[in-house]
Amino acid sequence: MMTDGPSQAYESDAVSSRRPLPGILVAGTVIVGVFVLLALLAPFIAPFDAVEQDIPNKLAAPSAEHWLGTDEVGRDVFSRLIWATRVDLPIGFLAALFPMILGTFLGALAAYFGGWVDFVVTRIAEVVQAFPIYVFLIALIFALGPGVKSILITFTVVSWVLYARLIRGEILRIRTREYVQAAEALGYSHARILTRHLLPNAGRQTLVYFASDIVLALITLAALSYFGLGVQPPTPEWGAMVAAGQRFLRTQWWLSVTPGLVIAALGTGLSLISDGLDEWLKDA
Amino acid sequence: MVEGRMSKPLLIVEDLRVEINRHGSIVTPVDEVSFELQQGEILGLVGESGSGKTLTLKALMGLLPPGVVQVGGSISSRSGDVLQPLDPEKARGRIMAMIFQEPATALNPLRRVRDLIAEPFIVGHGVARNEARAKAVALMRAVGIPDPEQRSRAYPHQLSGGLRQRVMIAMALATESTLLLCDEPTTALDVTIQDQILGLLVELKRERDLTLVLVTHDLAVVSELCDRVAVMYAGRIVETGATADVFANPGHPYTAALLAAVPRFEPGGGDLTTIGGSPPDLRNVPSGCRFRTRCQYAFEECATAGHRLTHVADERQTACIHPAWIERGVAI
Amino acid sequence: MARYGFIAKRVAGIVPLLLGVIFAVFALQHVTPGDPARLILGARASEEAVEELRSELRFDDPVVTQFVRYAGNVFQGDLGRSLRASKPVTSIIADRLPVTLWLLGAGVVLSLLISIPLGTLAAMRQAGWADHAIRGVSLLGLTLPPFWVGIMLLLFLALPTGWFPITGFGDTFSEHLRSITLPALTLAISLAPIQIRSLRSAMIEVVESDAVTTARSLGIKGWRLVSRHVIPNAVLPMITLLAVEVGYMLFGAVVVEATFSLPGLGSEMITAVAGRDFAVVQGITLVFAVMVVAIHLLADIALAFIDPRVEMA
Repeated sequence: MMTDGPSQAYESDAVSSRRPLPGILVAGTVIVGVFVLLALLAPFIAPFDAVEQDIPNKLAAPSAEHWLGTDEVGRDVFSRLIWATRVDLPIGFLAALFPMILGTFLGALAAYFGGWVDFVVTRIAEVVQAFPIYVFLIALIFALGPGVKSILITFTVVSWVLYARLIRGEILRIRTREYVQAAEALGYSHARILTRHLLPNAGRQTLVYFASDIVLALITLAALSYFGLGVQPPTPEWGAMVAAGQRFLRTQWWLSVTPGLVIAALGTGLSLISDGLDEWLKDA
Repeated sequence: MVEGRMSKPLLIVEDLRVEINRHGSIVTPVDEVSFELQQGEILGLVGESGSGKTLTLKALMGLLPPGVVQVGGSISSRSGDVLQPLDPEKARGRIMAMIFQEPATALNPLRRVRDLIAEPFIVGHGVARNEARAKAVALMRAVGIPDPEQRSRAYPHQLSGGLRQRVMIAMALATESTLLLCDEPTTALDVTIQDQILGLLVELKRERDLTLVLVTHDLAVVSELCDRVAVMYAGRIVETGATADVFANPGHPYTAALLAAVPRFEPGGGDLTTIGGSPPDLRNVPSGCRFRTRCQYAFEECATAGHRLTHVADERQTACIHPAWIERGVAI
Repeated sequence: MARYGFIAKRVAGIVPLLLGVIFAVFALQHVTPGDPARLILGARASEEAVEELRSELRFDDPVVTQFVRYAGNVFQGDLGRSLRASKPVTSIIADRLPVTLWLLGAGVVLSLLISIPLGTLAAMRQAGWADHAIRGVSLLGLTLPPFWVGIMLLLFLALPTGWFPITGFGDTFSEHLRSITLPALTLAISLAPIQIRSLRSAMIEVVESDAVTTARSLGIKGWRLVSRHVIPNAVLPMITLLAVEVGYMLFGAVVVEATFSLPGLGSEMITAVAGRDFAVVQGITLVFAVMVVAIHLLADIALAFIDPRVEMA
């Protein structure tokens, strides 16, 4: 540790001085922004319909008309990749957002009220965490039936724990600080203290984790659809497209290769945002 | 006690400069630092936190933290009768060792105390393990650890802060270095333990003919233990000299202000003066003399004066360009 | 000896957790919409058969009674019968478990062979080009879906060379080894990025720690510094990471088994889900959950033995 150095002088000023955005944060935002635009503008950008079949022209090689060829029922692969953005992006986002909301709420509740509330939440979190949560995901989707609704419910039930632990730990750490005690002494209500003082501080790490959690949700969603447990055909979805193409790996390899590259591109963008946010907010 | 110190500099530091580059802005926490260390003396290095004392020691040891770089200056050490450039990589654990401020974190938590102390014997002097462990126990006794046989098998976390610091001292002694750099060795300890540790250091110094650099912000400790003192402010040494002389008759307004800020233990004692203002932000230091923005005697030319230690008396140096004014100020 | 007492205590400590896990698996049949007996027997079973099972399994009893009975059966090693295969779930698990253990073992070993050198190199060359390259590749690796990585290995390694079978597990040891190579590599590629990132930051933290600075101040350097002071302190967070990672690892195993049609627990689970074979899904979920609990326990005990600061009282 550099106890003698000028580090303290930095730390105290870091909040006030606007630091430049890290390059990787900008790059990640641009990548994700492109995908958001693709999703919004899919009807204008995609040259073909997502589900309309053209059996005589099935499994066509890439050409000027079909940039990435056609699939086993003659649908344009390039267009389906674009249309799938409207499926994967919002579901991946919501599958991370719902657990964040639930976890933050339960974690804050547990830390703030302590006592039996804390005891119950912590115990439930322990059991959920003892599960191989993604395997439990498969079991839960089995119970609830395949489909988007089941996926969202399942993600919320199994992955709120990390957010709860994160927020609970942060609150317990922060609440001993003077300004919170001062707010309590002034007689502010619990809700006001929670929202005005605690959450903004604890929120930073949550945000960083949220961005990386979307990547995990995206990959898991694709994996479930790859198994046939997620988004159901004929709705275009990247993981399901990989699965459909796997049968034609020897001849039409691009059917499986391209959706994976698209997932990796979006995932990279989100990971860059997560790392960039981490770097940007670290000392603040 | 200090005989021959003028003739035998053990270490000469010239124009030491250390930089930190963070988020593109460069600061210089150690700047134009020069001093000599005499064989067999205790040199006190004092100043407020952030003045660059610890980084100066770490630069000598070649142990600057990542992102902190020595960008200038030379360090030479005396070997026999010749002075030669000091290579910290080679000097560490051979001619010099360091005592750290925080004994709670400085010791590897996964190794037993006897292995920690034995390691320098094994690495530096090729002693066999069992013999090194025996020497470790003997050293533990020498640094005043009760029940050394039994405690040698303990892990660091099982010892008190004071005992851990004694273990740290024993590790440094095990290197058989004669130069010990002590970085606020008692700051993290209970007040009652502090005197014991300092007493131990002085005793060891006498017994083993060591040379000590003692970084501290406790002026009472300096006046009691140190032969000479160097006062640092905002990365620079502003005054050096024999402790008694400097304390009786400070040659720099900052030294004077530091001394005036020490509460005196007189019955019904006088006013507690404090230094007005705070140390400068190192990203934005004043031109010329860095203390001038807090100095009650500041002149116009202080803003343009270069930093240079000049002799005001035998073995007394100050960076102040108007040292004469202080005497009048303090004499009141 | 305090250590055995400590282990006994930790083992006893997981009993409530195991009960919670069993309860969650038991609860699966109650969150499923519809009649649990019909769920177990499938859509084509006759109404009489469903009614018979209802009374046989006493689904009309209070939930607590049902749970106690279910937990009792589990502790006696009875996980129910598979509808499709019409044999005990335990015998299916016994058939399939070795393949999954092979995959997990080989996958973890391979992932460590990738992550330890790369993580160490990145930490030692902090902010150098090697560090940037390793961090970039591991960031990309985090975003690659494991099933897709498996397909890429099939496409670029198995198909052109013909060295590796595309599906199945083979019959002999050497066939097993050839069959497991690409799946294990796939699993390793999905595990390594997280390991590299954590190992890198753990190593950097240790290298910059006070304890290592102290060792360096005493003239300790080179391999001795790394082997005695850096690695032992960096291993502690690595053990914790492996334990935390195990849940994701099992999901990876399920995905990889499905991709390569390996006859392990994971592909069996997917088949059972598709075939609505309830008892099998329940049983495999339970086995995976127990594996996670056991790994966490082992990690706890290992940490206690390595780190003297952990109180064994």
